[in-house]
This record gives sequence, structure tokens and C-alpha cells, in this order.
Amino acid sequence: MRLNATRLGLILVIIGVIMLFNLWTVPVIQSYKAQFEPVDLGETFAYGLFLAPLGLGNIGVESDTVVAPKPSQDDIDNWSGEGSMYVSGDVIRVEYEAFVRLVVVSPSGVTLVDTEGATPYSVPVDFTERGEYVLYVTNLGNETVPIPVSIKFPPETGVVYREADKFFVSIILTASGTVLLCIGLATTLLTKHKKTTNKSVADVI
Amino acid sequence: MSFRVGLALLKTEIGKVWGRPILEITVALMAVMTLMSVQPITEIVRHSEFLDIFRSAVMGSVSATVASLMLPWIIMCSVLMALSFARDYESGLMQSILSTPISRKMFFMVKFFAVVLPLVLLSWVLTTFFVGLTFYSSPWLVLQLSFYMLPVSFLSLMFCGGLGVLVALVVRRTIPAVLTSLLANFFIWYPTTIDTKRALMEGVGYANYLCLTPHDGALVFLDKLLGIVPKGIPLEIADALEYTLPASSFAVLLVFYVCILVIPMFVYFIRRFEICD
Repeated sequence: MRLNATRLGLILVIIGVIMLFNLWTVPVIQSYKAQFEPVDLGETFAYGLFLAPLGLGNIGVESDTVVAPKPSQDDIDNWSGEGSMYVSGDVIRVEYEAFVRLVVVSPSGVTLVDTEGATPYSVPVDFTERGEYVLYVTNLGNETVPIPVSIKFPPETGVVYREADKFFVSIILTASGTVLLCIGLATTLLTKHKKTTNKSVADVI
Repeated sequence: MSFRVGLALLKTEIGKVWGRPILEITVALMAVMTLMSVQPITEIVRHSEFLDIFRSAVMGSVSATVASLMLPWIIMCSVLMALSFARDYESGLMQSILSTPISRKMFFMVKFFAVVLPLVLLSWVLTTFFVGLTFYSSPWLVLQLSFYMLPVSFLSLMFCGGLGVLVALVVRRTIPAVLTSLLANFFIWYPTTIDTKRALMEGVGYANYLCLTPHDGALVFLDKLLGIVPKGIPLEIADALEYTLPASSFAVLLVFYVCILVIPMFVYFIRRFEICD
């Protein structure tokens, strides 16, 4: 199997184009919210956010949480005693106000955000790196509350959110593949032309 | 001397089998299937648990990529193996080559591994590349976990190839051999698309034995090698074979499948196969 410039270029172009098409069609998550255990007064809770370099988004510190309903007597009676219990009833949404300090650190260790405010509030963050962004939330209020955080990429801004690093790689593959392909085709044409010219001269002689 | 001859033959056979546009079509097919399985990841977790969750995400990505690569494997391996043997027999090339001092043993091994080895290598390169593009913050972890797919893909492709050779040596005609080999391999691959957990929970009788099929077994073996622990398994199906058998059992099973197909074909070809009609 001869892997010359033409074939290598064609393979790179194929991979680059398929990657570009995939990046253009795969939807990027618009919003994501998470919360864990309540944070005590003066305590700091650290969230890890794994994200691709999607550009400008918003990190929000929320002020509402959902609480599971308590099981009724019917639910307890119907439970088999093993595994999880089915609880009838709707979840309860609780709203509260807390004073929170938010610090966001990028994967390379740079502090992107250091702000304080009453929940809910959000801050714009430019996500330019892929990896773990650490979100430190400190409860500066006067009661123990859960502090949910969210990440949002608003769809109405008209911005197309794509993974910048993969887009860059696919452009490089496509461009380098095209260059190699052209070089390979040009070399093949020149070689054929030389052979034809030499053959004609040999015929004459 | 024979090693050098074998290498030269292998090089020629690889050049013949993987000529344009076969390699390009294979790369395109594998790239499409791989990209469909590697999705963008956005997750908020506890910072203290991040490394464990990240490792799980990489393992899951490798497993999903191999599962999606299985269909291109099967298509290309069965088609190329059937073409390689049946076309050479039909065109008389096999008879010409075997009339030279090249042994049947070497001829069979060269033809067999000229299809299997490039497919294993291509699958590994594409898996590492596309999983690495998402998780390049830990390149060594990606490389380490992607190595686990090498034995799985090798055994799986040996089985596919063995079936392709069986069909080619029985049918001895190019197009019917290609179609039959493709259908046979596709039929054996199909159980991997069944959601085993759901089937087990619905009480489907054969669901417990799906993991013992060649390709499904290969995927379960890979998951166990990677250390993926299935979550949320209900108590009533926790004693299913897929969850209780260790990785070594699946390794032995895959080697068994390869041996019962490839070794008899090898012996048949070197001792009994009539190269003249």
C-alpha cells in the first residue's frame, strides 16, 4: 500500500470534513444546573465544571432548590422493604436568599471571576480552555442553605457555540489535507508529462 | 529467508488489499461512526470527585467508541477477507502463487493478517485520536485506556476474518462469498444492538446468554478490562452472567471462538483445500 501525498491528503481531507460536519450538527448543551449538600455559614464548597472551550457563557448562583416530598402512609405500606421506595406527590420548590462569594478558576489556574452578591446572580465568563473550571462558593449569609450553580449559553444572543479547539483541528486537517492532495496531484501530473515527453523523444530517435 | 519472503509477501498483499479507494472508504466509515459516539461533555460535580468522574468519562468514551466501530470492522473485514480469498481463487491467482515455492501456510497467514492487522491499527489510531481530542488534558490516561481495545479488536477481527475465510473457501465465487460473509457477520453482530439490561428486566429468556455471543462478549470484556462498573442494576438481574462472570472468562470465551474458527480453516487450507476445480 503506497501512502503517497495524494492518498494521505485525501485521508486528512476526509477526516477534517467529517469533523467539521459533526461540529456543525451536534447540539451544544444550553444550560446545566447542579446542587449538592447545604453549605454552612462561612464555609466554602467547591464545584468542578468540565467544559469545552465554547466561548462566552454565564455562570449563575441560584436561589432555588427542589426538595423531595415526604412519603405518605400509602407509600410506606406499598413499599416492599427492599430497594428504593416510590413516593407519590410533586417535588417542592423552595426559594431563599443568600449572600454568596463566587470564585471561578480556569483549568490553567487563572482566577476568572471573584465576586460577591445576593442570590440569584450570574456573571459572564469566557470559556477559552478545555478542562475543569473550579467554582468556589462561600456562604456569607446567616443561614445554612444549598447553593446551586448553573452554566448557561443563552440561545437568543445569535451566537453559534462550537468547541473551538476541535474546530481549529478540523480546519488544520482539511487545509493541510488539501495542500498535500494538490501537491500529490501536481507531482503525478508532472511525472506523467515528463514520461510522455521522454517517450516522444525516444520514438523520434 | 522465509521470514523476509513472508514480510515481502505481506507488504505486497497489504498494498493489493488496501489499494485506493478501500483505505479511504474505511477511514471515512470509521471516522463517521467514531464521531457519533464521542459527544461533547458538560458536567458539574463535586471538585473532590472530579478525577474519578473524569476517569469514568474517558472509560465510557473508549467503550462507546469501540462499540460504534464494531459495525465498520465487520463490514470491511468480512468484505476484504472474502474478496482476498475468493477473488484470488476465481481469477486463478491463488493457483499461480501456490505453484511457486511459497508454502500454503505462509500464503494463508499473509492473506489473513493483511486484512486483520491494518484494521486493528486503524481502529486504535482513530479511537485514540477522537477520544484524545475531547480529553487531551490527560493524554496519558487516554493512551493507557485506549490500549485495552487492542486485544479486544484483535480477537473480534480474528473471529470476523475466520468467518469470512470459511465462507470464501466454501463458496469460492467472489460476489456470493462477499455477500454471504457480510450477512453472516452482520447476523452475529446484531445481538450487540439489544439493550441487555432492559431485556433482562422484562424477563426475556435468552437475554442472559447474549453476552456469550462473540461481539457482545467482546464489548463486555472491554468494559471489564476498563473497569467500568454498571450502575443502577436492579437486584432481580444482578446475578446475570454479564455482571457476575469475570473478565478472564470472557477472554477465554473469545479465544475459544477464534480457535474453533481460524484453526480448522488454517488446517483445512494447508492440507485439504483443492486449488483446482
